[in-house]
Amino acid sequence: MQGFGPVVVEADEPSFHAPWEGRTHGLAIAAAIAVPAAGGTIRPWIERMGHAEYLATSYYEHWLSAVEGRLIAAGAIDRDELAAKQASIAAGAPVPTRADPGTATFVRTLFHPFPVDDPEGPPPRFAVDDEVRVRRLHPEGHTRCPRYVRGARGRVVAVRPAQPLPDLAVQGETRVEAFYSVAFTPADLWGDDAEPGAATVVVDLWESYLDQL
Amino acid sequence: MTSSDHPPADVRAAALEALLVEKELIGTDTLDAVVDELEDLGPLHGARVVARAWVDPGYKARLLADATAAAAELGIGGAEGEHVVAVENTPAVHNVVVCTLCSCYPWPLLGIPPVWYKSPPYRARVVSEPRAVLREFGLEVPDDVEVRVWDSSAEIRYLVLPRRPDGTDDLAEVELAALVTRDSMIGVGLPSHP
Repeated sequence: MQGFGPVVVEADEPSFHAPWEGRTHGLAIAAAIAVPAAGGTIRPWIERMGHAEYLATSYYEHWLSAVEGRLIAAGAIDRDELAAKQASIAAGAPVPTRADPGTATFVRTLFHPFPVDDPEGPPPRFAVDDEVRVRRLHPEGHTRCPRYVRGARGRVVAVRPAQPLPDLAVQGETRVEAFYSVAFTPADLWGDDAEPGAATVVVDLWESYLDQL
Repeated sequence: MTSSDHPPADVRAAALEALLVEKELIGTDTLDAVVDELEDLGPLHGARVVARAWVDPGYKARLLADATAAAAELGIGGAEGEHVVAVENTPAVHNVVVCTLCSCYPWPLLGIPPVWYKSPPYRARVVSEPRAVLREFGLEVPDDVEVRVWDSSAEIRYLVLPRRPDGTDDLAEVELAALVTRDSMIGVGLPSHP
């Protein structure tokens, strides 16, 4: 999208602007543990928000919408009981406390180094310096192929460890693919409207997003 | 649906927490733990990594080869930091990081991303007019220096390794870390001068 104004910077910004933002972050993690979902529990669900609402609401409101929407779709809560609870909270009802020390201890480990095993993947089809073109994809669901690079030619600058393709992971299907950093020139992306000056945009892309040139 | 269809966000968050607690799906102490850990995160962690790289060439080589492992040497890491790549600023290249699709960010190194990083203007504009955006942050990059924009919309989280400021030869590592700003590790700023 275009036509946004300047980037607005807030001085001395806190981690959270209000306590509900931190609670929402915690809710997202706790809900992901209680009701797991393949392929991510936040982003694919934020993408289901209406575009107008997305642009008019804040980051953690996006998270709230994602957690509510996913838990309703999973059948863990229903819309009516959530609305009833919102009414009682708005009328002053307290939030009950509940201890779950095992999970509380576990979540702390997420904020410290832990081992990561990259999955085994097929051999990469492309090598560094190969010229590629991003496919003109128009998927209806989740993808990590940004629209502004679709159809553009680029150059592979790094072959990264293979990763599951997110487009399928959100549907519960695991397909590990070769994964690359691909560099584009401003002219590749924006043609005659490119901003003057030396520049490169590097985007991380899965192999099935790419064709050989 | 518009935002006016929803109750205020604080009511929504409290109602969701209360409902999930009553269903025994979550513990409130889990949320307390998450908030507590997140309050401890911040750009100080990334600054320690950068300062170490400035004073220790062996560490810098390991950081550029595998930033996740290099950060873990200092006890730094965790979720959203599983695949960190450090990109080095040089006289010829100035790096800057964005996530155009959402707001991916190396939390263990930099903490919670600032609102501007998550905002549509930054995400849309820094890939199409990076120099104009950097100018708004007070950073003028000469036309012959390559601005390299890293769109971290996938699995990798990028950390900019800024150049060590001139005139800092006498500073200790901890003093150097104090010069490393969050913005310099995103690439929209430079380290402070002593």
